[in-house]
Amino acid sequence: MQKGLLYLTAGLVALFLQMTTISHLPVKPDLVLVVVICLGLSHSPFSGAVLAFLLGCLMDVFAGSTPGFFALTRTVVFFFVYSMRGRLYFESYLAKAGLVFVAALIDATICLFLVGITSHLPILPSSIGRLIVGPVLLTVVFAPFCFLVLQRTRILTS
Amino acid sequence: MEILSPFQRLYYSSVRAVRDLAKNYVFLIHLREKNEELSQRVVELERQNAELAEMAIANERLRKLLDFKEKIPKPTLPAELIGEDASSWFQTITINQGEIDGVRKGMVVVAAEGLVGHVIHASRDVSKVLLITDYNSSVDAICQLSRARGIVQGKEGNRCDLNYVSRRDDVAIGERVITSGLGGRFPKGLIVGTVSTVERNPYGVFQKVEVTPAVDFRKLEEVFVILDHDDSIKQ
Repeated sequence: MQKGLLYLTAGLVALFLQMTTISHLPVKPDLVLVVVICLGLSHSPFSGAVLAFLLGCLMDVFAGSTPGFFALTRTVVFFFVYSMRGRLYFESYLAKAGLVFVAALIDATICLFLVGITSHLPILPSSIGRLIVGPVLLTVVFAPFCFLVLQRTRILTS
Repeated sequence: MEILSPFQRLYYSSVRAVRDLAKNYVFLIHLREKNEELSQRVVELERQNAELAEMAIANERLRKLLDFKEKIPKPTLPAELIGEDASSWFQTITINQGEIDGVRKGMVVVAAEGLVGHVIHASRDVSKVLLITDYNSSVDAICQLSRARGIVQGKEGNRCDLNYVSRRDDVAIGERVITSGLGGRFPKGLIVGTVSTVERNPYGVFQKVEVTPAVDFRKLEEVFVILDHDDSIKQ
């Protein structure tokens, strides 16, 4: 319960940062996605999926998306990370960065597909660069810091 | 006297040297204190200067907004931007006025430079505004000089396309694009932007027109919500 609250708070903080401090960057990293990846690495499938879904719903509230858009993508990412955690060793930051890269790419691909069918987004190389490559790489850059903060907070609160 | 005078001179010059040294030392101590004091004063004055410059810029911006407000015949509600879209996929902003202040879904949001977008969700205290640069935004517009009609749709990189403009229309670069008033959402005559590129292929029904929005969304701070929505529909 306490761990769940911690992740929910972390998600809210990440969301707040995405809307304010780092919103001025030309390309935005997805910090909420990193929190969902952390959930996938540490939580049980039921509570983790519920939390990932909730974080996705929160993203939907604060983004201009159709309700359920991010709730779906974040739940898929959670199950992807959960399915990978038993198969690969994700203790080092490099391995985690690799996982973040793949998870962010999956998330972006689903988003692109959903945006493609719900709006008239032209799939151009420039839009792929701005919407997929840039945010994915920036999320990977920010991920170690987020992992470290979450790890320290978990140690402090436990 | 003659015998003693060199000693007297030596004595006085030594005394003077010691006195000067002491005076300079004390002066230097005071100088350091004075320097610290002045440095602090410089920092304080720089801070005040920055504050005044910011106030002057804000004053200019608010004056422009006030002038613009006077030009709109409908009741408007000033609002401040308090957040941007949480994702890279959509172009929305959050403003600090909600249902309690009279904001409703569908209301038009403008800035001193031109059209910003429309409210897509209004909660109690805050509202979410879909910018005209979002892929999901469509605004019926006309070019001010050529009277060419089209639909302004958002595209990546804070730009818009004016779609469905007939090939026969003579659209010029730099021409101003305004809302047509058709469609019922946006009142007529709001500035959308200026035509930045025109591409006319030798075939096809339409020409490709790109519009640079009048509003620089990266620098947006204050906006107006046009409250008289029903009237704008009638118009």
